[in-house]
Amino acid sequence: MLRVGKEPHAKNLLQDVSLRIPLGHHLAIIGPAGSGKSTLVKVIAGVHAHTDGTIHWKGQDLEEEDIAPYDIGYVPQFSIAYDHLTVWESMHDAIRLRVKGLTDELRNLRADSIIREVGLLPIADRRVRVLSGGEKRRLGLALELVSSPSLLIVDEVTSGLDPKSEAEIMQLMHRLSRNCDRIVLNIIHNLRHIALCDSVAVMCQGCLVYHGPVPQLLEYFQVSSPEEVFPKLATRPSADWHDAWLQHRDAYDIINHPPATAEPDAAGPADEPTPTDYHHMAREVETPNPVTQFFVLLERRWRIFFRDRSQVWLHLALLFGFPCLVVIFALEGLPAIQNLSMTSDVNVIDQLREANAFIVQSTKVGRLVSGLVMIQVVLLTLMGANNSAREVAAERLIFEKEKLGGLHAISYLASKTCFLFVLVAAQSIWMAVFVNRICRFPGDLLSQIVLLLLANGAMTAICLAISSLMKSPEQASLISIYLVGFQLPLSGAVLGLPEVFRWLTRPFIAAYWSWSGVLQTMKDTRFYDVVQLVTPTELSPLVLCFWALTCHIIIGLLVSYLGCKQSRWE
Amino acid sequence: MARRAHFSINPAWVIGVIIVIIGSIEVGYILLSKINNPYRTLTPLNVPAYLENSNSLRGNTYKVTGTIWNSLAWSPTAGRLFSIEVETGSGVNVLPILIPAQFNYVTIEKGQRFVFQIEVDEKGILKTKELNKV
Repeated sequence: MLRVGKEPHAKNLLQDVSLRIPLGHHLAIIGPAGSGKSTLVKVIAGVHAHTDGTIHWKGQDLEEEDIAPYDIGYVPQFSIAYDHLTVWESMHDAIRLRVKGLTDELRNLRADSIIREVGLLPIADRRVRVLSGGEKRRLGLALELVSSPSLLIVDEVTSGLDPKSEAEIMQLMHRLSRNCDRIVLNIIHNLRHIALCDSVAVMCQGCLVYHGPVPQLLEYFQVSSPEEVFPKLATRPSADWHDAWLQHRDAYDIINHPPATAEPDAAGPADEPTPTDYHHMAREVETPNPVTQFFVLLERRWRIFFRDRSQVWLHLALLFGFPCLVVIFALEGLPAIQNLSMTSDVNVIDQLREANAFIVQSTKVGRLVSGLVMIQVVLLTLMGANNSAREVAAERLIFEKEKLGGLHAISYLASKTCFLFVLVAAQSIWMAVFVNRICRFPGDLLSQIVLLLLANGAMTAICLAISSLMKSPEQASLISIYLVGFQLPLSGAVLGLPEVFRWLTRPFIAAYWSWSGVLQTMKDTRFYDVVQLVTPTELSPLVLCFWALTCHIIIGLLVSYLGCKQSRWE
Repeated sequence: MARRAHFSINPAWVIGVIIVIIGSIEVGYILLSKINNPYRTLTPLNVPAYLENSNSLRGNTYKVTGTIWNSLAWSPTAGRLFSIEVETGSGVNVLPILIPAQFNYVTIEKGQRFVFQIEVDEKGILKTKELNKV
């Protein structure tokens, strides 16, 4: 049973569904839209948790020990490949992520064999984004075959295919079920090729109303063709159908009465595809270790980055444009400061005049220096948010699918961290060096680089955490942008915050720590003094700034890990 | 044990982890604040007591925070003598402070705030042993 919602208004999405499926079996799951077919297979795959009942695989309760990642293949309705990769690359990456210890030659052989099998060989070098819906579903199926799973769950893979392709895929499913005692659970809408299935399960409003051999389906529902089953279901409430099924199910038990299945030849006019060569596929595969997966993911991430031209141009524009935004305020460098005379041998009027001139000058220079540092920091935090806000959320479903197939969350997060680190380092170093050279900023350049890098890294890590926790990339982007927007007002660099509020917010404002730290690197200069004169907020010691920003990064990565571990299929 | 694909995090764990992390940050912050202050073990100078009888404090080391007011004298060997403004509970006091020649490399300007580690020498003069910008 699967219940959703809060009691007492919880609703049963699945109720009293009991199925026993022998090994080497091709089961078709059919039913009207919204009848619970997809929900049922998601519960079997483990994507949804059931609230009652048990699921056993080869005698083992899956709640006690889950099915091995290589042994389950789940082809969902959505595309599970990256748009910027080709079919061939997607296959290769899937094999490298899911199957351990294959040589390049064996990988090529396996990829070639599966692509040929699903009929994608002529378009193997085509990018996923230009594939049709049907081709993407075939690719999804191919990706799930890389580990030769014993349980293959397919959610409407034949939808949207032309009749010839549909026949080919149904024949392929049939052959797969005859290979290595594999169970194929196949949700279909078009019942034209249902004869290629060993049995059929009919769902209606979350209830199982029939599960038995295909030929007896017509007899049970007293119809002349499979297509008439759905209209027939509408004639009675689902509960009636379900009660009736409970009374008759023993007579249709496929374990005690194994059904005879039609041979593929009898299925239709489709041509026989090239025979599958699975001889080179070891049945007992192992999932690669996290380090191997990390390198595969990192390499894939860079490939996708460089393929996405708009992303590359955007990053280049930010990389070179943002530092220019800073330096336009001080193209001539920082102005020198005329100090107050240190003696009292001038008259009071002159002293006041001098003091007044100093205040005007120091206010101007102090605001300029403080502002330049803060603009640098805020622009870098903006780049940080742009770097990572969509990083996980935008590919969440593919990630969840890969996790189901054995991808380690730590490998995924590590690959994201390394990828983002390169972006962060490039942006921060270039910003610090460029601004330093043009504006002739005083202070230790290395410390300034590290502080800007930490600010950018802190925001990148926090936004990565947001990305891993949010349901959609839009949501993640919005929250990340709000977070950047809070940086300037809550840093206290422009307007002083009330004391209590300051202590509550300051620990979380990366911009404050970086701004404060960069200004601390100028401590031996007059610029530091004049900034102190104009800023309403006290500056924190350098070591504290390093500490706070490092903590931000650690927290961001820890929460990102928790977010990546958590399942988020919806 | 839950199935691999529907791993969910108990919100209480997340809150617990966040509390532990924030607690660690706060503790680290406090510790670092303390360790980072090189003068934390020094007694602040009792300004009224010094102004009343500087000899009574001779030989002792204190810390004092003040703003540079005027340059009073300079000698290449003895160093620089400044007047500094020091805030005390009773208001603002002006103290003379000698910054020895060993600190000639430090640029000191009117209006700058420093924390001084000072020793009251045998003549009652406040002699700087160390100084740091605030």
